[in-house]
Amino acid sequence: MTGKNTEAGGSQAGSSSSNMNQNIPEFLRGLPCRDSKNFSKFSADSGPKSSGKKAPIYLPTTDHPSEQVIVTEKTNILLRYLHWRWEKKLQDQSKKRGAGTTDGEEGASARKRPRTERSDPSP
Amino acid sequence: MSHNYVVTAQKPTAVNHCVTGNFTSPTDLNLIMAKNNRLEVFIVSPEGLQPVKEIGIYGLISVMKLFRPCDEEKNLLFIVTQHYNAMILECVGRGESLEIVTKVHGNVADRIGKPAETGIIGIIDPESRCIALRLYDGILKIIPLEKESGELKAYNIRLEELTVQDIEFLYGCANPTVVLIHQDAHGRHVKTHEISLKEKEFIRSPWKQENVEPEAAMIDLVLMCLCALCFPQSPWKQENVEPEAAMIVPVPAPLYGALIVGQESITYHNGSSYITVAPPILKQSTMTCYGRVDPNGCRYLMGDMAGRLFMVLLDGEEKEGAERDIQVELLGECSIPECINYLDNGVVFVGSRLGDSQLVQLRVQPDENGSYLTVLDSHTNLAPIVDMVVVDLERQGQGQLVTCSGAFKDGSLRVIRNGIGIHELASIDLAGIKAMWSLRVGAGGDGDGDGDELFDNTLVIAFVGETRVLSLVGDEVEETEIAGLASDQQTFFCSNVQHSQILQVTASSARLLSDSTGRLLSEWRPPGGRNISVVTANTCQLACAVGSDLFYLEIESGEVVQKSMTTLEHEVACIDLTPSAGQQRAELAAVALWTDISARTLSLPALQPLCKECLGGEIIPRSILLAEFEGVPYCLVAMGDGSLFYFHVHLKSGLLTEKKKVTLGTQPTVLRAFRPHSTSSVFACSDRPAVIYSSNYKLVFSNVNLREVNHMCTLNTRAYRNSLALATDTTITIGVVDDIQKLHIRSVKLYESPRRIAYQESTETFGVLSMRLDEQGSSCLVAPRPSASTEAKTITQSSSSQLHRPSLQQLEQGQEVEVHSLLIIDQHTFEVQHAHSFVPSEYALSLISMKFDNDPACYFVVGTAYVNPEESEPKQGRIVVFQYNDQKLNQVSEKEIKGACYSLAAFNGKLLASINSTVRLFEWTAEHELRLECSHFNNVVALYLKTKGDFVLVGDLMRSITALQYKAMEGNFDEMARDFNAKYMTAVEILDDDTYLGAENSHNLFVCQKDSAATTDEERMQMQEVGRYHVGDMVNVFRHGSLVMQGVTESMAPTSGCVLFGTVQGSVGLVTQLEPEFYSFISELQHQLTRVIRPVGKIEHSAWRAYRCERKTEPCEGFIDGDLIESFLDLNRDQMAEVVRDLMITDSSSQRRAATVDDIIKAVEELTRIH
Repeated sequence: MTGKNTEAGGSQAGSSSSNMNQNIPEFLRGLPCRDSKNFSKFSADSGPKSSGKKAPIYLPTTDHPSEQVIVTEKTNILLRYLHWRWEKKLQDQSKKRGAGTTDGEEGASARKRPRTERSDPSP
Repeated sequence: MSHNYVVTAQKPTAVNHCVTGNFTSPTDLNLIMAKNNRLEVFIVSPEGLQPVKEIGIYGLISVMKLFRPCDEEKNLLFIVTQHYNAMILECVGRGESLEIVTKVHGNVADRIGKPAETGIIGIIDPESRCIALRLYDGILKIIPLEKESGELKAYNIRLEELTVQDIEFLYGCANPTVVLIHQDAHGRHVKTHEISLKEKEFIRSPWKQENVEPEAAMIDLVLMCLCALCFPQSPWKQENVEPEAAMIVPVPAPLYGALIVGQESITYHNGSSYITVAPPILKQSTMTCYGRVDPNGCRYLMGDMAGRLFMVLLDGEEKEGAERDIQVELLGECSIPECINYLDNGVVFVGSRLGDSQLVQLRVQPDENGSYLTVLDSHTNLAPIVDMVVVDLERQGQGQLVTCSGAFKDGSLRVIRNGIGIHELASIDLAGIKAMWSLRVGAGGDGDGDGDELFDNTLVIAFVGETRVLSLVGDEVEETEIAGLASDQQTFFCSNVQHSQILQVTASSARLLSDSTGRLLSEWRPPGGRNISVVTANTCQLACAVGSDLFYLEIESGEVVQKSMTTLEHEVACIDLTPSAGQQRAELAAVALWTDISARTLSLPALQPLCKECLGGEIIPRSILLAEFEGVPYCLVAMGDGSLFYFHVHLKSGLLTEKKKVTLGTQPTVLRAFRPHSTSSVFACSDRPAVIYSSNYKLVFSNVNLREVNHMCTLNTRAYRNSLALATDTTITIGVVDDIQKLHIRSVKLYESPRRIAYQESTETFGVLSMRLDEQGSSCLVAPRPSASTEAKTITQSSSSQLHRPSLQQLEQGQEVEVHSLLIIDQHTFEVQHAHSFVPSEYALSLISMKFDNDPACYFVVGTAYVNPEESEPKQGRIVVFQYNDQKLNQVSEKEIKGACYSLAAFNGKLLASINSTVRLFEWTAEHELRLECSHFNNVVALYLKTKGDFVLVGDLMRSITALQYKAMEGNFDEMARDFNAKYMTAVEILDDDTYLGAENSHNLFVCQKDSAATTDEERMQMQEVGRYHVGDMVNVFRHGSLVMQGVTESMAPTSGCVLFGTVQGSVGLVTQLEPEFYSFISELQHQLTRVIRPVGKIEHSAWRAYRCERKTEPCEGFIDGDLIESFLDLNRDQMAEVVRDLMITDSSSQRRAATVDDIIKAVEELTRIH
């Protein structure tokens, strides 16, 4: 069914459009094949039956404990963001401080810090 | 208190999601379909798709993705339900021991947040580092996939982009990176965000491109290429993509980047460059889904809303001086796709919500229509069920359902009946047939040239006083003669027997014939010249009764030899000698006797009595049969009144145990064994023919779509393989039986959207309202494809000139316009007899068939609305009365109304209509005109009406339900009671005078009761909500009726009433009422089942069935989940015992005692028979 496709797959695209159209169009050349046997015995007779055949119903009765449970972080998204920015800023500042420079904003930010932390556990 | 039982008769059929991968093992290629709350797992095999398991999930599946963590050999399945339950499932083991293990579960809902209008989107990083969920506007939830801890800590990241159309992870990124299409006031834009899992934030892009012209982006190419060297993908954005861009396709290595699919164009963007194509072929419709073909991401299958399938090629090589190219090729037409999955070897699965899902083969050469698609197989889909009727077309006392299913080009009517269908292949007119048998006559039969298979070629037919022979050669039938056959007598039995002989038994003798020459070899006559009354034989044994004398004979070469004889107490009524499975010879004979009405077993060859079971009553047994179903031997005894007893038989001792009785028909019944599709079955010939087979070791009695069958024999000729010959009073029908299945679905394609259906018995027709989409051509509207309304035998149109209607606004060429029609469809042939089209702006909304007071004629009444896009609500409409008579549809009357007529109902010989916010009653005058009698105003939009006696139930758009009473004397409506809760209704039904059933748009059912005994007016006015249930699907229609024959079994489950419902996902369910005592018993069983059955995904049953809407969640009340109850029968015996452990039952003598497994099996089996 697909043997021809894989053969034709090697030829270069767009080399000869007229020739290409006569054989297999480029967009259908070399369709992927994982197992050439798949669908090889498919017949119209067996077809409708396969769709009519019902799968057995899976009814689990044994309890497998979950390896992991998904929990959502409760921290408010805005507070986490502010906190994150704050930390980032602190990091930058400590770098700058390490370089021996200070600026006027630092004091203001340092004063604000406890307030952020206080409001943190509220949500 | 309300005691309701809800059960699914037909599971949902719409395919919402589909994935492929290695789920059941590292080597299996699986296809997994999600159908509402069920998963179906298939394996791709040489024979096609092999079903593996069906898995129920307690929730509507909103997201389903397969992914493979780096250390796993096979894929895991990630699922999020509509109610935000997330889970990761793994498949362990194979075959019977296959287990679905919930590896990870949890609820990912947030307490606050506006659910996104574009629905839940769930995506997984290609390197399985994290999962991203877009559940609420402006928030992206990240679930990092870490192995170490017992908790997966999900967190939210704020998304600047509020309206996200689509979002995907990009391939080949150092950090997980999403690409999204979002919409703002200026249009739609594409943007990427890199996620830092450590910092739980988006990483600021190293370089910004805010408000940069697309052209300007090219200048940064060098810089970008440098970035691209480090990581294939870096953040990028593209403003103002196509205004309708809606789908992102991430492209894997080696190309990376993404395809952005819009209504008219496809863009490939890889961060550094982009290319857009807008082939004209795309313009006609909009792509809705895609499936990747090549692992390297060169080719994609895409499907659009019109059901066209395309191949999109992304040119892999970036050639010198030439840009990449995107090719879009039309492959052909399939069902309107919802999901597309490339499987293997050019075979593609197209999952559909609006039509049948299909398995499609891509052809390398186009067929004569230029299509590159061959449909290999299709999976029946009823969804969406928009409307339905219950009718008894064959007048067998059994309802069938005719649904309006599918939409657009995949629209169809589906005829659903419980039972088994016979496909008629041929028929022969012959009256007065008493019995018949198929034979092989001539040299070895008709078996030459076709392997070892022997074909029948002759039919021996018995009439009163004569026997005739038909030869069947090919599909030719002609009367013939067999030399040695006694044709001047009625044959009692005829068959091919061993040693190449034919046995014929008549009243006077048993005759052995050569099967090659047909010559008589020998003849056995009962002693004393008496007449044989009943007889049976297999290939080597023969038993016949002369009055109460029973003879046992064996068939040898050239003669039958009497081996034993016995005299029974009474005359023999019927006898059977069917050998047990795989055996040539029977060890046991089964007989039933006159007078004492008993069934007995006798040993062979001695004819020693083994067991006697009295059947009771005075009705004579007519047919007895030994049959083995699923390895369990049964003895069936059919009676003269259409009832049937069945027993288990112990083959060694002959003991008959576990007597049960069912009623199949009303006339004497004849039992014949046959084997369709290699399952052993029994055909019960009577006035209500039935097929008996076994499923899960339970006997199932399935009706057959034939009116009456007197006799049946199996027939396997070259032309009619594995067929049955069925004799009625006047004809022999040759046909094949369907696969054994409970609900039989027949499809009548309309190729346009059916909206409403009504049945008219007097004209034997269905009226169907349907809609097709026409395109504005250069001068007029053009139908793009033939459909039911354009191909009808006769076609009429409402003339637009005479109507006072709002003028249509000017239409652009190519614009689609809805055209509504009334179709008249013959109930037997399902041919469209007549189509009446309404003018393009007139939408047909409601339809009934009814009779008016003082007028014997039966009419189809249609309610319409003129739709003007500029109006918030229709201001005008019509009620049109049609009569179908002599193959012609005539408009009898019309009434202009001030609004849209959403619903119609016949009401005391008058017409009740809901028009916008009002409910109005119209009288039918002697002049055949509708005259308004009275109205009721107190609704937002009155969408649904149901009536019973003087009562009217109104379903409102958002104000739940109201019960009205019509006061004939005063000529007005009295509002009796109302449910004051806000509910957006989708369907309503009256259960009884005081009890009402409703379905609303959050997929819940509820029952309200009117409290007539309340003391104050205010209390009386207020309906009590006595039942609540989450059905998990949107119910579009309720209809009273049943799919099973009423009163088939002797002890039916104590249920009363039956309301069927049809849903958006294509399921059919039913609601019935249980007696309070039985309800509490079944309720206790349900409780025990929830204890034993551990749901996949660890969602509690009580949470799943809890009534849940946007504002509140309340526990399920007054309803029992029949699907859970029925799953009892799928448990093994030990598990059943575990369920039954603490259950008490009240037995027939009113004693309370511990229930046994068999008690519960019996009770649940009875419940399964109500659908």
